[in-house]
Amino acid sequence: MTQYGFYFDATRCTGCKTCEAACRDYHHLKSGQTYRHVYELEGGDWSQNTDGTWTTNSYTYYTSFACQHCDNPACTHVCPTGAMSKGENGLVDVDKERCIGCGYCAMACPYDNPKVDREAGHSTKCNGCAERVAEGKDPICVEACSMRALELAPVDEIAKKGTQAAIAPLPEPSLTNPNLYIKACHVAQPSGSRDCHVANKSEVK
Amino acid sequence: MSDEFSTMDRRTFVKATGAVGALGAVGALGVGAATLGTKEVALAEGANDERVVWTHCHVNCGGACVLQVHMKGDEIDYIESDNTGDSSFGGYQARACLRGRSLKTWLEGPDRLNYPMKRVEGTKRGEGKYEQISWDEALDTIASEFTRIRETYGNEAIFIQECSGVEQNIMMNNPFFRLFNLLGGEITRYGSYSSAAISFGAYPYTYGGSWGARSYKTLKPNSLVVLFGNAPNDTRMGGDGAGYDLNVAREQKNVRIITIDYRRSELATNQDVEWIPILPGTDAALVAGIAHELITKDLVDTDFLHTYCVGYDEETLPEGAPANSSYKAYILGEGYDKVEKTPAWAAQITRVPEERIIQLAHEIAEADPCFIAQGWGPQRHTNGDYAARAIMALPQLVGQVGKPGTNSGGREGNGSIGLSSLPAGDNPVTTKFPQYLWPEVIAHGPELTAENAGIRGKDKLDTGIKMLINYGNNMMANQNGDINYTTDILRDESLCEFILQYDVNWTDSCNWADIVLPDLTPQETWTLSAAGEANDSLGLWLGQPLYEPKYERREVYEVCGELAKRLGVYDEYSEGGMTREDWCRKLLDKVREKKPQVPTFEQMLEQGIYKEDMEVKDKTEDFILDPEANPLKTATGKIQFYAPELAEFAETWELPEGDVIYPIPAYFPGYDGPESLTSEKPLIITAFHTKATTHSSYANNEAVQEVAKFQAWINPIDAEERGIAHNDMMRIFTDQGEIRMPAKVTTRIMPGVVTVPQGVWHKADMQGDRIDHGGCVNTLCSRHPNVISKGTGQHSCTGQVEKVEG
Amino acid sequence: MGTGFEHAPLALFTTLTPMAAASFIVLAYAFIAGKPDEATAKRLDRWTALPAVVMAAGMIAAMFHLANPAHAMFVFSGLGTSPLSNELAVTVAFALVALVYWILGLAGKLPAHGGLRSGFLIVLACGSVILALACGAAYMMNTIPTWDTPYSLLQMLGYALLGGAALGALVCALAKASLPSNASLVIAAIGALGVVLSLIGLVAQAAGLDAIANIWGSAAGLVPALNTMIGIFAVCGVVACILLFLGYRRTPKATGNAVAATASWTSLGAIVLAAVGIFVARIAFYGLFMGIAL
Repeated sequence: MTQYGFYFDATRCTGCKTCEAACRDYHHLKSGQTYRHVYELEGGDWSQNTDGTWTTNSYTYYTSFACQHCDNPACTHVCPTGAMSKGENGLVDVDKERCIGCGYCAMACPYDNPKVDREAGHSTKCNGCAERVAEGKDPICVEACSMRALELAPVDEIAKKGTQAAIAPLPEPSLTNPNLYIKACHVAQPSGSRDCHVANKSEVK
Repeated sequence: MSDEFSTMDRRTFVKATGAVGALGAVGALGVGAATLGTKEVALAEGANDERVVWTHCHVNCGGACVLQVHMKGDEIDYIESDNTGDSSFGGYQARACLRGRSLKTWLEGPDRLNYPMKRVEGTKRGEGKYEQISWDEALDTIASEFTRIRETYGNEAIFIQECSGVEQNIMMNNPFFRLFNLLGGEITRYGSYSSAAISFGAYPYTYGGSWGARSYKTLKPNSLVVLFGNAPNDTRMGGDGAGYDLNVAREQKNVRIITIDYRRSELATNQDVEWIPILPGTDAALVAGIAHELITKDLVDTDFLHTYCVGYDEETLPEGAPANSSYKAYILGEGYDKVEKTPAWAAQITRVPEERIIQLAHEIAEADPCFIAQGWGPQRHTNGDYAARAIMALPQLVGQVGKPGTNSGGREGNGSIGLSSLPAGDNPVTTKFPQYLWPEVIAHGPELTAENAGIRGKDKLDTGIKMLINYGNNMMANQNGDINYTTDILRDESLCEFILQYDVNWTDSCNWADIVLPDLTPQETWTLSAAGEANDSLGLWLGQPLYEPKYERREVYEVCGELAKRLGVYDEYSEGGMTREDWCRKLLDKVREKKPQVPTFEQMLEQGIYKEDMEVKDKTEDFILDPEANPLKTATGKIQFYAPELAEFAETWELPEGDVIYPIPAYFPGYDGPESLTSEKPLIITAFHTKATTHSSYANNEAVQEVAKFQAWINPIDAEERGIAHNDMMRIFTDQGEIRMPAKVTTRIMPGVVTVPQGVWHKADMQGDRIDHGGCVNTLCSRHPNVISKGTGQHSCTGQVEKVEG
Repeated sequence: MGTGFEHAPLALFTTLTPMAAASFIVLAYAFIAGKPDEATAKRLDRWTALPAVVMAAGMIAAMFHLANPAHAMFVFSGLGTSPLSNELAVTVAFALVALVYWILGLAGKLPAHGGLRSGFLIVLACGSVILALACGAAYMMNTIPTWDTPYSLLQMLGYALLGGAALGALVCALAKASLPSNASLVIAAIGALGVVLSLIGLVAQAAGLDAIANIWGSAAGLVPALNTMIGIFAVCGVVACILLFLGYRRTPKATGNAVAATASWTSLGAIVLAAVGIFVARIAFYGLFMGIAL
């Protein structure tokens, strides 16, 4: 099986959130639901000089991510029913006919991806647009990205362009071995950094 | 809806959508002759009548992005955009941004207008009480009011407002102009809310028009790009937009970018772009400080300045200009104010450290080429005419104008495929007024003159506006500065006697109309558009209706046709019965006359779009090659530091107290600008373009707001002083009014400045406290226009912010 | 991140089921040390309905947590890897053994004394400890640092013992079983051990929060009322133990049925206090949910 993964070129991203909007539209997600997150991180501060002018060492950067279709997914590990599993191209998806909606995947995933849709009666998550990928198309988020900052491709290809995701706000990759490779932007902070904070909490939580 | 009026008969509709549906798996959708590849779009056969309809997003971001709407029967399944041709970074695909991608929920939104409505008799404008009426009653009323007002006050009393909501296609609001022009015409406006000051207060007096503008596609390797108040990744987000091109150039041509802005725009987030924070409204002071360094360190291109420019120094001042009226004299402290514009002086005003100003001067002087461009933010201040001209002066000083890899210092350029709109005919009324002053024209028409209000075509107006046609805009109670003042004027029915609002959604502006008509969105009818100025490419998009008209919604060309019938000019209006679809065909054919490679209408029905990449302008301007033979359209034929036209205005115009006209691009703080701060109003309150909306279009689409929240930005230093935490509700108030909006506490904005996303829908009890709980920034903005252009100065405001407790 | 109350069904499950299970420890004591006569044994078997009901209530509460209980037949697919499958397997296995025990008892197939009765009870008593530990282990995921600690196990074990002591005491009292003279001490000691273990677990977990943070901030800020909630548990637990101690204390005047009557009231008080205390502590625990990164 060829393992597919996402590539995110953080140097090109402009935080437009079209990836997220396209995903919500394509997957008919309800209000409050999203399979893709765009986190805005911020750090640094401002200081006023004696002449009244201002200087700042602040920085801002976005990280767009969905499900990393990890090699060692926390969600499949804790799933009691086997509903959460890796399928074709190594993409992790939920079997709606097995899922009991216990929410363990949602709690365990360090990328905040699966969520229980109580109305639908099962977990929901990014499946890498598996049906589109099977047809040879790009996932909707990839096709939507104005800046061509996203890709989904066999992991050995994307591993040549970036490094395994290890920037804030994402966790250390050793946890789940994510298939997300990132070309980090100049101000990106390492995973676990406490020097930056999320500047768009009301958009992502 | 009566059959007689149906927008499109059923047969036409089936033919139209069937054309795509019937293709089945036939490929080559959306492939123009000049595109780089073909892409087969396989359509699910039969199943639930699945089909893809080509249309596009067209509001007033300046662009029009391709939409392929996947339909299941009459329901939208999901939306794709342009996936034809080269999808790589640097390739050309008009990919829609989050707004276009979220169109489904907007089209199906709860605010849609479905039936003609009229204000309930006995209620006042602004009370918001309306009742459904028939189309016949609505059209009869509009026709009779038109006739009455025309007969009573003359055609100059009739005004058709801009149509920002449907800006890009061939129709726009042209059917109204076409109709009224057949009946004696109407008063028109000049300038826009987008670019009035730069277009009417700067370009004409500097270059004689928007000369020397170039696209980011023309950037040369290793060049320096300096942007003032220009945020292409916020405002022109499409996949072939200016922001994209700049991003590509940064990566592929190693272009270094510096952005000068009061907020960290999306240009300076992930991309390695340097942000120089500047106090809003002080751009001309920064330029003056840089100029001082350039002049005193002998870094100016004196040959260029002497050959191509007038008024840089005393030597090149035009005849009649007083001594020491040159820009150089102004900078060196010999000018009208006798103040030397040192970098330290500029630092005090702009709050940019002196060292950074000095360094920037040297960077600009050393870069070759240096591409300097401004957005439309600086010129939307009350000193915007000056700011725009000053920024243009910067590349002139170093001779980086009119040559390959440079820009004019104005807005960056873009291409155009040459699509004409519906011909509007000739307007017998030649009187024009500056657009921003439409409320004043309603309230004080006959008092407005060429000298006090920039009236053109006449020395003074004879009447105010008595009939106001608002088609596809949200101008009355949302997008115009000082909503409280404006609506007071509208409330008085003795001033403007008839107001029509014709739109797709019930905006707050509808509450000020006498009759409200329900429109089809561009995606619900035929539409032909060119890739707009925000798409840095050449494209033609033919949009087909997604479904048959729902409820009693009807499109503008047909509705004006019905009015034409009532007013006895239908044949001339419709050129013998042409439909909207016919006009799309005819205007496409017109493009084909000049560009035979453009597909036929039938081909476009199948492929939906045609695109070709822009020719990169890489030539030196004719004026630079031979200035004598190719003079500019300025008074002197040259680039003007000193504009004799303005010197004349300074003599003759009547200005509000505090306003001054300088012939040179001097720093002038402007009304309610950065030098108007007091202890009661210690903050500059301004506005920015949010990614969630295009002006007020889509601002009711909650699907987008969930992704990109409406929040006013405030620096942590200012927030902490006021006990404001992230997402706390704030009351923001100025002399004009008060809004409520949650806070985004962020280092992305300079201390001392609060910025509000522009376009949010106004929501206030206009009979009561008028507190705008919606959060429309125009509740806060003043009416004070720019000095020369009389264009909007909405970005200049001072005020205060407090936390709303509880 | 939430308040913990969004997991109320789980809090109920982890309050009720382990205490029902651990009540078999007291029953084992009552049978093995108390040596009841056949009539008392019958009464005890009848009143074993109480733990059965409590256990069933816990399991029903758990069902409310699920978005689709209809697929519950698949829950053992993750046995071995999924801590939830493990927990549920242990719970179901325990419930089955307990059910068999109870049915046999009611059917009179289980003599009051002898290997079969003792064997069942010892298995159930030990099983209840395993069940409690499995409930705790279900929350130990390496991506949830606030939960991924042995203190999660310790807390659950403690709750089981406290609740089990109280519930077991109530069963015995209602069955009017005469217990050994040291019963008040033994039962109160089981409960007290539970309180001590839980408190160690809670306090140690709370003490570790300062060192845990993700992008949203420190885990120490997750449950602002954490200390109060631990305090409520401690007070409830201690008072419950005192009640348990008082209930079976033989005074010169009180013997036999009189003891049982007193014990019924005190055990009822103890079980209510224990349940409330444990539930509050469990809500606090769920409030401490924190992803390792987001």
